This record gives sequence, structure tokens and C-alpha cells, in this order.
Amino acid sequence: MIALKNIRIGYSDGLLHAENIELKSGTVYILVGKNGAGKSTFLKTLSKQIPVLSGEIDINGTSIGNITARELPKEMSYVPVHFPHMDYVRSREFISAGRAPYTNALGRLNEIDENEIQSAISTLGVEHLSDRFTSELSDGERQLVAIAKAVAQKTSIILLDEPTAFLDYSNKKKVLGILKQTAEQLDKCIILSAHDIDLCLDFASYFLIVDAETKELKLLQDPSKEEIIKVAFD
Amino acid sequence: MSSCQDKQQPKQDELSQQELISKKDETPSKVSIEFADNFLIESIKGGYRLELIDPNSHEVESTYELTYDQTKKGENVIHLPMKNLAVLSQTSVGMLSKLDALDVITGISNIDYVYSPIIKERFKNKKIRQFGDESNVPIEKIVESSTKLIIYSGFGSEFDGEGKLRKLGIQSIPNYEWRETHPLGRAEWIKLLGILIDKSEKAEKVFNEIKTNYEDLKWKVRDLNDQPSVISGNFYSDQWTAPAGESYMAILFRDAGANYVYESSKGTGSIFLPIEKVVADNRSTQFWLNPGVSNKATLSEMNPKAQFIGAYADGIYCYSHEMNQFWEMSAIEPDFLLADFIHIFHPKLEPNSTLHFYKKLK
Amino acid sequence: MLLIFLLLLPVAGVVHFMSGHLDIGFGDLVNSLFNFDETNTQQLIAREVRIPRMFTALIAGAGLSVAGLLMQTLFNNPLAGPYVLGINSGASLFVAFSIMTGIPFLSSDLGIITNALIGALIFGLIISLFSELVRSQISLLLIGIMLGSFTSAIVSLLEVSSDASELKVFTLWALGSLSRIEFDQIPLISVVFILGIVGSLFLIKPLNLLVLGQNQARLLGLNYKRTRFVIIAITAILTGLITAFCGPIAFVGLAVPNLVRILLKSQHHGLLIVSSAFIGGIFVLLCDALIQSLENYMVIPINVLTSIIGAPIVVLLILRKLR
Repeated sequence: MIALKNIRIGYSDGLLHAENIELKSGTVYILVGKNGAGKSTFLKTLSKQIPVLSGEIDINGTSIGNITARELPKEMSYVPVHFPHMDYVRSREFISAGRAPYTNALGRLNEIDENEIQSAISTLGVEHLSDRFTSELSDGERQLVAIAKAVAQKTSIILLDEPTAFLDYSNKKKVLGILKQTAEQLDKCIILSAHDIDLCLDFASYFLIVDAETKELKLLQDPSKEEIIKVAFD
Repeated sequence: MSSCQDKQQPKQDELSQQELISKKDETPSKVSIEFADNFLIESIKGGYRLELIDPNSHEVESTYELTYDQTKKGENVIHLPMKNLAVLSQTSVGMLSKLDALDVITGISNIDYVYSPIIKERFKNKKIRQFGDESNVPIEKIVESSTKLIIYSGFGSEFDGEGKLRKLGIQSIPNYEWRETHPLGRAEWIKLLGILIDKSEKAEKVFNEIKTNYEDLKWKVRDLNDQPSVISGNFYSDQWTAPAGESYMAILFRDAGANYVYESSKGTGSIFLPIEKVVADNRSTQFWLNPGVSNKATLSEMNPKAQFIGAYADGIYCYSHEMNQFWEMSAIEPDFLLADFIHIFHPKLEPNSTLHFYKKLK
Repeated sequence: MLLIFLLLLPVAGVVHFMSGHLDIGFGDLVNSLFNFDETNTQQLIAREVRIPRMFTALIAGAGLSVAGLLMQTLFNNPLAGPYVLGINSGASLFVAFSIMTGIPFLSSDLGIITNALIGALIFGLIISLFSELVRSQISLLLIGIMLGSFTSAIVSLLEVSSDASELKVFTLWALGSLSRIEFDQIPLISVVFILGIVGSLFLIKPLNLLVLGQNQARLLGLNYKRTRFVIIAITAILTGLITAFCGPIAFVGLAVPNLVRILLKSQHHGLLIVSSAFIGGIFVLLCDALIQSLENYMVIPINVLTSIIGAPIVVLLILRKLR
């Protein structure tokens, strides 16, 4: 799915590095690290917003350097930490934007697109929100709508930058649950950064941890909370 | 400071000390003002009282005492004869050149707008400076030039620095000549300039000649039956700006034996007319004067609708023979102006005459 | 809603037609188009004065509103517009150059249009370069305003050094007028205008994506730089064309798209473009109808009236945002 091959990433000086790591589909990966350790940078590098300094990232066997900006959105969707401020955009319209990589130059939605949008809405259970303006939604509702857009984009990979940051406890649980379910049922590779280690341990077994000392990104399976804290924060 | 030195040794070139002493006790002969509305002159002992009339309210705006008594002091006292004038109004320059007195000028507003070759020469020889117009008078430069009096185009209020200059002993007189509605009223302002520089008799003589010429010309066209139609002005933005029916231009048109299309409009200033009205009213108007541009290419660039005025093909004239000449001299040469108009409107009357200020647009 | 606009436009057209100075019958109007008799004053005025003026009001309102909408979406800033961002100023500066250099080609109609287009395009590109350097929306607006001030200073310098007749032509142009366009020029201008509007309709998808923010739009496959260039080129065509003929007209481009968004409560750009064009056209037609009916009492340049109406609308918008 995603293969990291001896990469160094960051801005000019190099923030973190990783040796060979393979990330599979049908799995949720939790990205953990100190503030400023490079979690967002890692996600931005994966989504080609920032170039890799050295090494190679392959997506489904192709180096991301060789995937065009038009093709990448069909492979990978990205949910930023902040939901955009927009007036007069209804949730359904926002979710429809996920179909943009597939529509023609005029942006007309065909039957397939409409079906994908509808199924993303029902996967996330946001039918009741679809006619409301996104500017009127709560933070939890917005996060669900943002994820629905990523699902409608029908990519094998979904990256989420701190999707639980602004949510209350029950919404955090709900979002993480939905992401786990989505990964498993739709066979997607989901990578999300988070600070809620306790909560995440209940939902995911794979953790990508930025080693506080060596700045190396490590993949741990079923780590204990203590283990995570030791690597990431000590 | 040069101005202090000047005060201690007043210059008296042409007038001897003795003449000055006798003049300060005499009452000069009466100066009659026939056509001008915006100033009055009364002879008093030792000189004159000058009253400037506000052109809008027609009330006395300010009073000056013009006196040969050099000992008299006061805010509005101007000592005669006046030398060293800064003349910021172009028409006053023209009047001084009619009086052969351009040597009293110390400064003008802008050399680019000057017609008189004498002024140009004197400017080149650094005898005359540029002071800009009254909106931005350079006080120190004026003091340095030993100017004693400033003549400027009056707009109804003092210019910035006028009070400061007065404290420094430099008086200012606004010139409302341009607000006069009768062409001879404009020319009559030469009488005031004549008094100021002690050339009163010459000024009277010049004015009377102009008046005679003007009235002779007017007499010639008085009984002509054929009165061609004329329009004046141009489109500015979406409106046509034209002289009102009681204005200076309208009077000249009437005196030249033409039928001004907006003759019946009220007022002495400008009127503004919608494009549609002007086009509708003037499809067969024979003459179009004062479009403000000197050729047809510029005219149609400014106003694509110009072509719908009847006179467009062959009847547009502007004062573009030499623009500076027009601005400088037309106020003091209304007889030439009238002659030009008669030449344009009634070409058969004086077949050998030529245009003085005006030129046909090509 | 669209249907209402469709009905309102002819109404505004009729109001505009009837607000002229002379009484001109419908028959004269039809004849002036299909059976023109040059000696008939009513027909002449209908054809050469009133129809071009109506046409100009319509395309000026429609074009500036669409241009404003494009700028607002591109820079994700409801207070953007060709006037605020200095794109008008670019056109003005180049027109000033073209008039005041006195080179005959440059000061011909075609020369003025070309220069206005180039000026608008260059200033559009300058402002988009700045948009990459500054983060805040307010900074970009301030830069636009500075561009405007800088340009008017340069124009003043040009004015000082140009001769009287060139200066007069430019001063008149800068006052703005809806009467400059001639009947014969209507086809050419229509072609350029339609090019701009149709071009903007091809941008519906990118514009809708840009609503989500530049970054999201890129991640959904938008080629941002190319899109930005095309948006600016189309804005320059519309703004340059209108500025070349009408002089600067303020606030239409800023106020109308905001009004349309509030009325329609939508960000769908197909709808927004068409509605902005309609409302903008109706707005300027009605403004000019008002000007024409007041012509006998006072002279109001179009730019003054649009500012008097537009500026308070913009203040209300800002207050609404801050609330």
C-alpha cells in the first residue's frame, strides 16, 4: 500500500527520518509524537504537499514522485486539521467536492458520482446534516462531514491531521470508531495523527511513533501506553 | 533681508519727489466705470478708494485705499505708484502689455502659459520669476523678489498665505475680471491696473479705443437678417457644458449677429445639458465654437457623439490660433474677439479680414 | 430566483430606455435598428445615444460583477474586487500612458482597449504574486490599495508632463462615462465581453473547489497556478474592456457578488456567475436610469452614484462579518 524506503523528510534541515516501513490496507495507523516532532510534516509529505528530502515513498507500487497532481487525489485523500471557513456551502455540496478528481472539466456529477456521495453520507451517518450549511455545524459534525468527503473521494489511503483535536470525548470515540470501521469494511489504509493515546489504544493496534531522541519514525504493533510514552516523549 | 532694505529706500524712477508731494494733496479726476460690475473706484484726496464687489452676492467684499501719501499706514492701504507686481492672472498680464508696462512685473504664475515675447525674454534674463498660481504661493520667493503687490484670479476667498504676506508689507488684490459678463466689462479692468501703476490716462485711452471698435463692429451686424445658429462648449463626461444665456459668450454671440441656441437660458455662468437634448437641438446648428480642442481627431476621441452636431462637418472653431494668446489677450481685446466672431458668422461682410484668435478645426 | 432576474432585466432595460431626455416611441426604437433613417432625430438618438448607453450600462454592470466574483473566490476574500485590488488602476495607468504619450496607434480605440487589457493583466499578476507572499486577507487588500495610490501618483506625474489636449482627453476618460461606446462598436465589444463571460463559465469547477481553500483545492487535483492565471486573465479581459470604455467604476464588482451570495445562499459558481451578471447589469442600468432622470437637475457621474450606493453596502457586509 504505502512503502517508506529510507526517507528523510522535513524542510531543508530534515525533521525526521524512517527506514523501511510498509503500511497495509484495511488498517488504521495512529501517528504519535511530541509537538513539533513532524507529524503534520509527515502527512504533508505523504500527500505530496512537501517534497521528500531523500529516499522514496511508494504508493501502490509507484513512487509518489511519478504520480501526477491529477492522479494523486484518486489514490489519497487528506483531511486537514481545520475545517475551512465557508459561507453558504451545504454539507452535501462539500462532500461532493470529493468527486472532483473524477468529474470532467465542467464538474458535472454523473450517476456513479451521485451514488458514491450517497454511500459516503450513509457510511458516516450524516444524512441529517446533508442539507445544512457547514458553517452551522458543530465541530463533531464537521469532522464527520470532512471524513465523508474523504470517503466519497474513494481513495485507498486517507490521511487525517488530528481529526479528534477539537472534539469532546464522545465525539472522539465516535470518529475513531467510524474510521476503524471504514478502514476495515472498505479496506482502506488510514493514517491519523492524535494526542489521545489512551483512547486510540482501544481502536488501533498499529502506531507510528516519532522517537523523541533519534527523530526516527517507528512502526509499533500493539504497544503499551508506557512504551509509546517512552519512545515519543522521553 | 532684502524687503527691509527696499522699505528704507523706496524707488522712485519716473515720478519725481515733487510730483509725488503734489499728488498726495490733490484729488485725482473722476474714474467712471461703465461696464464692469465687480469693482468701483472713487477719487479721494491723495488717491482713490477701490471697492471690490463679490461677483456672487454683488456686495462690497473689500475696500482698499490707493494713495500717493506714503506716510499713510493701514491694513488695506496701497501706496501709489505701485512697482513690482506679481501678476498671477494671465489676463492682467495682457492688460499690462497693452499699457506697455510689462517692466513692473516681478513674477508670473507659469511661463508655459505666457504669450508675450517680452515676458518670455525677461524670464530668460531672470527679471521675472515663476510663482505658480494662487493655490500654492511661495511666500519666501515672493519676499525675496521684492514684490509689493500680487494680482491674482479671485475665487471669492483669500489664498493661503495672503495674511502672512500682508504682514510682510505685500498686498494682494483679487482679479474678478473673469466674472464680468459684459465683454467690455472685462476690458475695463485695465483702468484699475492703470491707476495702480500710475498710467491712468493711458488706460482710459486704450479702453476708449477698444470700446469704439467694439461698438462700431456691433453696429455693422445689427441689422443683418441672416443670423446663423451657434452652439458653444463640449461634452464633459455625460453632460454638455455650455455658456448660459446671460453670460459673456452669449453676449458676444448676440453682438456678432448670431443666434445662440441656448440664448434664453438663465444665468451668467455655465449650463449643463443632457447629451440627448444637445444632439436633438443641434442637428442643423451651423456653427460650433469653443469645443476646447484644436483638431477633429481629438474631438471625436473625446466625444463620439460630436459628429451628430450639425456644425461638425464644416463649422467648428476654437481659440486655437495660439492658445496662450487667447488666454492672455482676449479679455483686453474684446474688439478682436468680436471681429473674429463676425468673420466666422458673416464671412461676406469683411471678405478680406482674417481670424485673430480663432481657427477652424480640421 | 434566476427566473426573477430574467424578468427583471427587461424591466430595468425599459426603465432605462424611458428615463432618457427625449420622448422616443417604441416604433422609433425598432426602426432605428432595422430601418434606420438618419434624418429622423428620434431614431438617431435611439440608435446612437440611447441603445449604446443601455448596452454599456449592461455590460459594465455584468462584467464588473463577474470580475469581482472571480477575484473574491480566487483570493477567498469577500472584500476583494477589481477596484480594491488595483486591477482597475493597472488599466488606468496603461490607458494614461497610451493617451498621454500621444502616439497615434496607442491613443486609438483599439490601442486604449489593448492597453487597458494589458495593464489589468499585469496588475492582476502582481497582486497574485503578492497573494503568495502575504498570509492575511487584509494585507492583500492593503497592498491593492497601495497599488492604487501608487498608480494614481504616477498618473498625476504623467498629467503634469503632458500637453493640454492629451490631458483633457485623459481627464474626461477618468471621469467615467457610459456614453463613449458608439453603435458600430457594439459587435466588437460584445464579442470580447461574451468571451470573458463564457470563459468564466468554464471555471465553474475550479471556482467551486477554491471555495474550500487553496490547499484543499490543490489536494483535490486543481492546478492552482494555471487556474489562477486563467482567472486573472478573464478578470483582466472584463475589467480592462469596461475600464477602457467607461473609465473606473467603483464598488459594483465588490458589492454585487456579495449581494448575490446573500440572496442565493449558495457557493455554486454556475449560479453565482449568471446571477452576478444579471444583478450587476440590472444594478448599473437602474443607477444610470436614475442619473438620466436627474440630468435636468444635477450632474452625477456614474462612478459617483455607484460609490454612493455601493460603499454603504460594503460597510454593512463588513459589519455582518464581524458580528
